[in-house]
Amino acid sequence: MTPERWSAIKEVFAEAVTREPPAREAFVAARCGDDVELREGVERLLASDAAPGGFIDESPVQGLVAALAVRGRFSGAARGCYRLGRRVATGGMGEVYEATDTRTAQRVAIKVLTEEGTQASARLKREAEHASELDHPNICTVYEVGEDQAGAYIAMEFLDGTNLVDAVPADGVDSATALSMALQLAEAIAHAHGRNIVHRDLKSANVMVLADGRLKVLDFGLARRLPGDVESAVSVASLTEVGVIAGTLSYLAPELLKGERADSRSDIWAFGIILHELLTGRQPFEGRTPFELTSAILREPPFDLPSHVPAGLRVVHDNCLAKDPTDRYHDGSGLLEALRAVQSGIRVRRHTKSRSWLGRAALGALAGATLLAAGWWAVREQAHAIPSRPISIAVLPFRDASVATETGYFGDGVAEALIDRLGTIESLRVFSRESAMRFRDEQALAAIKRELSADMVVRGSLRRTTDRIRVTAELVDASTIRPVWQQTYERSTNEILALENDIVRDIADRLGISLSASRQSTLRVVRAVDPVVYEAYLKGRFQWNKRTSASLEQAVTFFTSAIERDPTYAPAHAALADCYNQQGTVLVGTASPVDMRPRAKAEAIASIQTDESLAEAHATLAYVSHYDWDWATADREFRRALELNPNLALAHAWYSNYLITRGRRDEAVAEVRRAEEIDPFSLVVVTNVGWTLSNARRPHEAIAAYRRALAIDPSYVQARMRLGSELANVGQFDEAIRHHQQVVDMTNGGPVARASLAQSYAKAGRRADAEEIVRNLAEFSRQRYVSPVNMYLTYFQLGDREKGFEWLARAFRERSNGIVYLAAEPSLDIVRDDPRFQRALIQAGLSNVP
Amino acid sequence: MSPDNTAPAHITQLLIAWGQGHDEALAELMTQVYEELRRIASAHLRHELAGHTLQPTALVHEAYLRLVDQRRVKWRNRAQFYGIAAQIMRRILVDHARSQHAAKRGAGWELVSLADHDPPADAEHVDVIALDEALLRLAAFDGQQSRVVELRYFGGLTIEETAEVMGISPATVVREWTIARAWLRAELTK
Repeated sequence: MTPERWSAIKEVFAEAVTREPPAREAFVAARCGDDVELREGVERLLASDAAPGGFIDESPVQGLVAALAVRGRFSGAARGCYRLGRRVATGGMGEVYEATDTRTAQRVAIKVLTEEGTQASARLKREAEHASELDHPNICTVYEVGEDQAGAYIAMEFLDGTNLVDAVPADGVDSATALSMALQLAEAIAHAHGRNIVHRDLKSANVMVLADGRLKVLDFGLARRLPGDVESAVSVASLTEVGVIAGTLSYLAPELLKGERADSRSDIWAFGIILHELLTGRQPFEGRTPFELTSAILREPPFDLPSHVPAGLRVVHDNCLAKDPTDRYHDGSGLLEALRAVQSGIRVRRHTKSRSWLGRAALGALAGATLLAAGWWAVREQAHAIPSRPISIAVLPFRDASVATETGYFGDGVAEALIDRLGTIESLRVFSRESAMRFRDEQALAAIKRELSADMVVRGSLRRTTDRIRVTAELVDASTIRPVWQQTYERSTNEILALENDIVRDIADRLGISLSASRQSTLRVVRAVDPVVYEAYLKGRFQWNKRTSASLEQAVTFFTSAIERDPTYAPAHAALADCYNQQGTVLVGTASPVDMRPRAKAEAIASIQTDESLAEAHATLAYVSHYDWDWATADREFRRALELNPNLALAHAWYSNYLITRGRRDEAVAEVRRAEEIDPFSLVVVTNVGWTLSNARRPHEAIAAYRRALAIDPSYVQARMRLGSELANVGQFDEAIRHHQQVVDMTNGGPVARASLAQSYAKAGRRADAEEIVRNLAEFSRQRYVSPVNMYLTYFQLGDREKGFEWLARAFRERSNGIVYLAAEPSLDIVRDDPRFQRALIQAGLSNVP
Repeated sequence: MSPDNTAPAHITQLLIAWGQGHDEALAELMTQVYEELRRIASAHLRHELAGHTLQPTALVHEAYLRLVDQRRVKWRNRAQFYGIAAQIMRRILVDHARSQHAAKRGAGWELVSLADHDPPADAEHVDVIALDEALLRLAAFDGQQSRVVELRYFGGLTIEETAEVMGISPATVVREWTIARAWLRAELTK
């Protein structure tokens, strides 16, 4: 709009608005004459002005206050590769922001340092590097210390929880809770002390309580060194920073107040103060001024603990708060040992009724023995207490400690075999490879508990020589991160399958699961396998799991060579079948599904013929049959696959695809949700959740699912493309088009992406844009393969039924994968009334779908 | 930050300097005003439980009273202060809306649950991002109107205050406001 045009519109509007409606129209008509644009401009304003509601009359002051309150100086800014969001805390050294790592979309916390913190940044950086080696479920993980022109910052684990200061009620917590919290803190302290890292500023304000009750110690090794002598600490406190230093002062050990250096024992003292706070809700030493407080710390005994506190905890409390550091536990491990003894003492007492508290001298000796017993007892109890809920297990890749190891394929392979075989046990919920193996390193355990909420973790190591293999497997309780069982197996290399079965049987036994007779017999089948064949198979799996077109080709080579050497090795046939299947899909595939389907089917059948018990082979056969419109076989095979292995996420997802095309919407949604439970981080699975929901006509849930997939990996094209389509279905055209344009860029103008964009344009009413794309695509299809499904979807959207049905006929000739969705897809609702469409449904055997 | 940076004398000096054409003073002014707005908002939130509600004009007025030595600034400087404050408030709101939006798109995936629906279409609900964009378009052909909206809506000023700050009559403010409002609403609902 030009300013001249605008002032003309304003002028007419200002006069028109003073007139009542009938006269108003006449006035506008007279003033505008033939100038249609002017009249439309004025009428638009008049209509808008007359609309009810107080548009922008209220200034958004409350919103502003809310926005300001959660914003810090750096909100919205970028620090390094982090984008800062709301400010979540303000502390002594700086402000803490919620932030996103732009490389991984991971949520992190960024501590932005104040000037003082920044001045110390060289030292800080050194110490933080040290601290970032700490990896413990009760310690907030430090990712990195960065520096940019705005100063230094620390990236660390984002914690959603409450500060311990706020979490402890005014009169403290009960002894059992205090003990469990104390144990967690002691675990953290022991871990750090074991690596020669002293906290130096341990206090309640540096402890977070998460929603699941877990404690996390913040700022380990990052505390600024306090002025080493009493005078400066106190004098600073009495001047500007009363709150900050005084808060710290309460936790300062006597020797620090006397000017000695902080060491592990001053952390023990600070822990003693926290323990006192937990048990009573107040500080053990008080003073109205810093001088009084200092004096109390140096000379007074701590306030008495309430009478209900058990003797064991009193002993620990008194030891920690001994004035002379040499009287205290030397470091975290001593403290932890004592607390564990207290824990088992309480347990023993509760269960045997008469066991008096053993004296302090016996603590150490007692600790080792009772700890084991307590650990055992806990596991047995857990195994028997939860038959109602399946135990969830994550299997980590096994570490291959063999001398010459080219890659991780063998360790991955053993883990994968265990995932497969544990998965066949009904009362277990086994996370799929893709979700469990994200947690590859040692950091894994804490993350697994948090992100997968697994009950148990299986991990281990192996060592191979040419003819022997030795595997050590370990079962870890995810909530305590403590191993509850460990066993070493050794067999000749051709008995690897038997060895894996042994592990699975022992784990089931450990967990108190009684296996059904049929499962027992499956696990007892001891089949020798040629090590060369097995190795080729594992290498194939390793490539197969990468899921790129190049790695699929390599996988095919490995599997084929395994089959050549031993045609009766069923798993290789099953895996090869899946490779062929993948190669025939739009995303990673390089071949037409029509060519690949028969090959996939042949391999699946070969696998089933040699070994009927492999779930994967049944799943692949079902999948192929589904897209071959062989509904009965698909249904039967899917059910057999899931019967054999209820934990096969992809089979659930594929079965869901099948069910949705048959109009069985509720079952489909239930299946795909099950897949997501097993494999919450699989892009394929989560995107399939969206796809099923979309076809079940639950667009908003579908959109949420696609967004979940994109949060895992923003570069996952399939999810973004489908998100765009779904947004267009619900009328959010701008965002839909944005996503589709992005996908076009990401795929360098891939035909599927362009067609999707055209469909969004068409839905948004931008015909010309849509038509231009579809013209180009039609042109393009003369030189390169364009999926006819996308063509008919676009033409139908544009209302061009003739062309649409032409392409649909072509899709039928190719048996395109999209055909099975004819009855389900919401985008096709616009042509359902056409008799030609009804005929197509009959042709595909879909006419009876509700 | 040392305390004297926010002293009224300092801000006043900056305002005067900026009024005299020292453009470099503006960035520092923006930072100071922004920090003050934040302090007021946090203080307000702490008292909110006690039943205080904030009047739309209160934020900007309070910032002005706390930051500027009223005896020393001329009318022109005061108008400039309000202009700056409204601009900052607009930016804060827009950034906030953007980050909310980003969070909803799934910055942390656990935030987006299956039950997560888009907010219901609400006549009173103003899409701040869209409003901001529309206001930019409006500014391209009618800068005065765009400023009226910024001061009134984002700054929370009354008709009279807006007139005073802009040096135009209240009647003009009303007319410009009415038209701008009608145009913006049409833009946001098209």
